[in-house]
Amino acid sequence: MNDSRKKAGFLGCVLGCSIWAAMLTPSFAGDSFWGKVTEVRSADNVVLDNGKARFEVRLVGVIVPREGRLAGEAKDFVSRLVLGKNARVRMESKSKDTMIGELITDDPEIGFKDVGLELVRNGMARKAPEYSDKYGDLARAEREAREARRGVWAPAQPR
Amino acid sequence: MKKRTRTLVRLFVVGLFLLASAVRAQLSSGVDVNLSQMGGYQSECAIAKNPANHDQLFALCNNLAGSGLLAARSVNGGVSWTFPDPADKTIADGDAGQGPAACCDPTLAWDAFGNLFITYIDSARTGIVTILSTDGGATFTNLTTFPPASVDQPTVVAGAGAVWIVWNQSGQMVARGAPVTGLGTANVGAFHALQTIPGTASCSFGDIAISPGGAVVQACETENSANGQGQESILINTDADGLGAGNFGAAVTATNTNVGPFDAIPAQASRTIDAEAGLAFDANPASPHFGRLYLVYTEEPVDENNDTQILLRFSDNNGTTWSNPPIRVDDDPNGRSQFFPKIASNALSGNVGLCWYDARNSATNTAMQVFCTIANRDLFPAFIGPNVQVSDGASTSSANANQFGDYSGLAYFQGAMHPIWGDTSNSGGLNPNGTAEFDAYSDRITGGVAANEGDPHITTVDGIRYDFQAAGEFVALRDGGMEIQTRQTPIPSAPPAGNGYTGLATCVSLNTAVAARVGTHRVSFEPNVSGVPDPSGMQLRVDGNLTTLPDDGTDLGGGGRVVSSPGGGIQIQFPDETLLVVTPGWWASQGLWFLNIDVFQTSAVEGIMGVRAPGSWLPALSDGTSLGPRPAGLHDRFVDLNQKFADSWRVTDKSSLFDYAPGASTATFAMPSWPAENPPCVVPHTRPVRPVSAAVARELCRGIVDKSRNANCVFDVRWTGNRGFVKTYLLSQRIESGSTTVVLSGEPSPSRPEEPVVLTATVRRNLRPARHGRRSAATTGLVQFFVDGQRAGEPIRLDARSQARWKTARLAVGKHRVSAAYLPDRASTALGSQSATLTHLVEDRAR
Repeated sequence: MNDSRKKAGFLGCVLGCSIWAAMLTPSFAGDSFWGKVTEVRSADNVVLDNGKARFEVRLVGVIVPREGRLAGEAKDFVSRLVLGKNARVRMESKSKDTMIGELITDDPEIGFKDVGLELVRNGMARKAPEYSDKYGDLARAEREAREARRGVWAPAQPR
Repeated sequence: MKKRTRTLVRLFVVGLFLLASAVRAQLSSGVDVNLSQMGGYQSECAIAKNPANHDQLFALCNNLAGSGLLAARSVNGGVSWTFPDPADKTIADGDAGQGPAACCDPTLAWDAFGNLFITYIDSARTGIVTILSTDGGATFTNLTTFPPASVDQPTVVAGAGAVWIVWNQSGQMVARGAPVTGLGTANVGAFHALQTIPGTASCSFGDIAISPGGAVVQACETENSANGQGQESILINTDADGLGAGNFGAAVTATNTNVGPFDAIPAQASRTIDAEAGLAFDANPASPHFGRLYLVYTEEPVDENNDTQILLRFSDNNGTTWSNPPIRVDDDPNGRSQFFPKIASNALSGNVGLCWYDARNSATNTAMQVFCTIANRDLFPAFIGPNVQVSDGASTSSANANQFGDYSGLAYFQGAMHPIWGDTSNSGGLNPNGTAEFDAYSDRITGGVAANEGDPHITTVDGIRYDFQAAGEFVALRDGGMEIQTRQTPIPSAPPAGNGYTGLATCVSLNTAVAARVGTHRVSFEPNVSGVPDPSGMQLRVDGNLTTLPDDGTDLGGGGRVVSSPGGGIQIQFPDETLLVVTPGWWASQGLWFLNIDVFQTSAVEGIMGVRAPGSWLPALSDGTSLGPRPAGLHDRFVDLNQKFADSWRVTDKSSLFDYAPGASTATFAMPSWPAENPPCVVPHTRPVRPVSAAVARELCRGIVDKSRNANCVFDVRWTGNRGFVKTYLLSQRIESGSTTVVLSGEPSPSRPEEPVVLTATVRRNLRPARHGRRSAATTGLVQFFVDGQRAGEPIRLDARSQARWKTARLAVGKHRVSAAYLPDRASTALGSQSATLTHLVEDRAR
């Protein structure tokens, strides 16, 4: 690897680590936007349309299963909560054109639920290590899921 | 060096000098105050100032050190801060009596009744909460929590008999207002039904303002671009009848901006910025622009080049149409980022204060400092003052994922601006996290220093120094709320040398009397209205009545007062916080009193000490017009200065604030033929003077440190031979460097019988010691408290925060006059001063 590529790799790592660190640090969600969720790409990646523009959104503070049965269940869980429904994204940071933040439902039947929090509470995701407690809620939700042995915390099934 | 190069270098040096002078003269900031001093993150703050008591401030910030919001209050104009809940420094944290638990986004409004409205998003992040404090932020009462909804970024505003809150709800801007008829919850009516503001779907980050007539205007920024960085619009809606039956009207596009709602810049790379539109009305009925609405926002003229700028537009029809092109507020020459502007108007003057985050001094465009300026209504359209760096240190956003948050705060009233911001510089060394986290910082910004000393050597409020030798009575400084007039008397002298600024070598005069309008009162300080000066001292009159100042001075109401000053002089504190110091000297051989007149922290700009009109070599004429550039010929300059300019600012019988003997008037003291364009400088019926050599004058004046003042001293002593000038210049120098103000507060207020009351006196330097090369000079000494004119106990030593406290539980039922006097230590460079007199009420009832 030549020097310039090494430098580029190092800078990339620094940038990536900075964004990751920013995601893990205690935070308030900041400026927000509101619209209808038109696509659920994965449990932590949705598209929100505010009638003027479409925003790609990644949920902050949670680690969702990327493959296997739970990945599908988690995506379905999120779809049931938000697909075709209104929600608010409280933006925490931006990486390129992806908005990273909290996704809060705004639906007469569901009410105002933090999708990331619900994922963790139902064992469909883990709290990102070292991420803020988000007012203590994420840690409590994970404890609740772990104690109830839900989702990722369920005992391994015998083969 | 080639001639052209030399010329360019000279121009550059002159330009730098003029720039530095103007910057120093226009605005004066203090040492930053770290008001949170907490672990963890405090930023995204709001700040408000009590219109009924300019010493009271309240601040509220997002807080990540625990639950709730950082809450701090000041009763001494922001010199020091305390906490309504000292145990955790927060409110809305679940503790009883501190409001429902909060998430974030605090916003504040303080009305003229004394109601402090505090609005924020609740901990469930679905409710807009408003609580009320009627005691300056010491205690709180729940006012309302609007029904749960998907909400963001509320803004509260109060005035014109109403309180209004605007916020984003389910993607749309909405508002609710309530009538306010007095102090306390009983005088706040029910909030009217929710109004959905037309045309604001996908529009957020708003602001709201109430016009003097009660119309309500909101601003928000559209969210039309998928990456949050494309061109957007700032929309304005007006509810013309306020709390009346009508709703907000259709949205008007005030401007487009390339700063999108989630626009990444190096200084706020991940959290991003928005245009952060802000609104403020000129609410001073005496202002020529009364009712004008200002809109500040952020623009990036070349999209995505990170040279974001602070721009201003205005509307004279409550937001229906807007000025174009916009006025640039920042003067950053380096093409770097300015962001998070905040605007506030001073209802007493109509001037507009503006502060923002500014990365102009960061080579990497990542470290910000807070900059501010004042837009002076009298200088419109070229009314944006020089930008002044306010924060002592530079802050970077990398300390926390929240970076600088989403907005900054600003309060502006009675001549002083108070910005508040998140700071990682750790200037002052009181941040428990060092530079690793944000603390909430604030500062106090006032107008600059102006002087009118000796053979009138004038330093204008924008830093121009010129000699003005006309004879008669003149308007020295004025704005809508105050006025200072001076009397200049011709004196004999040797033919003097030319003045460096005007180039004129005319005969000279002296200030011999001063008069002022202080609120509703008229104050004069004259040798003797009979016309025969009394060597024993000057005469002070308040509203025409000869007055002897008591130890604690004379209260003139509204924060105005007059007190004694060293050397037999007086100090007048105006309600707008302008401080006038008059230092007299007795010239025995001529049998006259002469005065040095120094003005601190003023925002006034009109008069012979006022600011230059655009393109003018002298301050603007009384009708606001300009004399234009300095004429090439000396005769034309003489006519400009001593005829056109002098006559423009002459006091008339109608405008005079002086007291006269029967049969006398301002005409008695006017001598339009003075100064003669050419010597000799002989005044009828006066004794000739005996000039001294330049060497003798220099030796006599060697104790005057400031170069300009030293040159003035040498000039005056040399050409008049009066060594008494040295004494007054030394006194003026001492006063300028050591002048203090005592700010007094008493709590609880009102109190009950036998309830302990704590009087706190805070001693504040009127100028930063740094101006005199003694930045760390401590203010030490004692404070003597007075109750009903009697000494209250023994003097109490100031603590490290320049505060002294006296506690008593023995105040009888009824009203008591309380005050405090600062008694500096003998070794201190500070000068003694008196507080204003407060009225403390002991109520004969249970709470």
